[in-house]
Amino acid sequence: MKELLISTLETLGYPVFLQGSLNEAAPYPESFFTFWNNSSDDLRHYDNRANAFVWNFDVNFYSIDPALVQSVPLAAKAALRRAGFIVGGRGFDLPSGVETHTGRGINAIIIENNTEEEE
Amino acid sequence: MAAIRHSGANHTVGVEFTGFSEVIKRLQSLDKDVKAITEDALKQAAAAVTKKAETAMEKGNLPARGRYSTGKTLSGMLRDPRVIWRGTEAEIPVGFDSEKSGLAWIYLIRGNPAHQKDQALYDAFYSSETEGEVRAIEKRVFYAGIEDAQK
Repeated sequence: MKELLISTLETLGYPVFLQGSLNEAAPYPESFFTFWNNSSDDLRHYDNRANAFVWNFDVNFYSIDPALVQSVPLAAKAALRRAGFIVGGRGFDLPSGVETHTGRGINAIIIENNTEEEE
Repeated sequence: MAAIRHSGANHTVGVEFTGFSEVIKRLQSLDKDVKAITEDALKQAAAAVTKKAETAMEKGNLPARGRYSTGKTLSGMLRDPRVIWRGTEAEIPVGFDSEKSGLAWIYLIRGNPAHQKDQALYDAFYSSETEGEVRAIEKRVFYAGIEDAQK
């Protein structure tokens, strides 16, 4: 699911990083996504086995361009929904930690059916 | 009816569990003070969420084991908040008073490109475990209200 999230975000043309992985001593890219997987809880059980999981992700967009900070998360929402993610609301502001960038975030969840073979 | 909301700036807890509407009707038929029971449920739920957040903010549990902690963020944690009614909907704020705590809590809960979030603090407000605990507390308070009326 993480791979699906990343590949979907990459279609928007901006680099995608794990939240917290950038070097604060180096300049950030002008515009970029970060993501974070909050959880991947069991959703349903059958016969003592989880048969689905719900993945919960933060998806954040940071940019030096405030117009992109408003529009790109919404484009990400649309792309993620086409890919099967559930994305509610229209996002929330985020501080970037640097003076050059502002940010905006959305929360995306997706349900994955358990296709693993039983041991 | 109370509602659950999570705002981007801070957090609120409302009431929502299966059978909630039927419980309200039952309490009203027993002439119980639904408003008082709702507020009690919300306050107990908020206290539980706040306790989890306080544990997450103990120095040893913070990033870098609290080396950079000044205590300012924790000092702004909402304690003993009031229930807010908007018509028939009620909610109670949980989280931080940004005027007292500053904005560090946002970094702790969301992270930034160069710093990971504090997952324990985030989970104190947003995890499915917390939601389950909140629902269990609220259900207990409401059903206790029914039992009390039937004595």
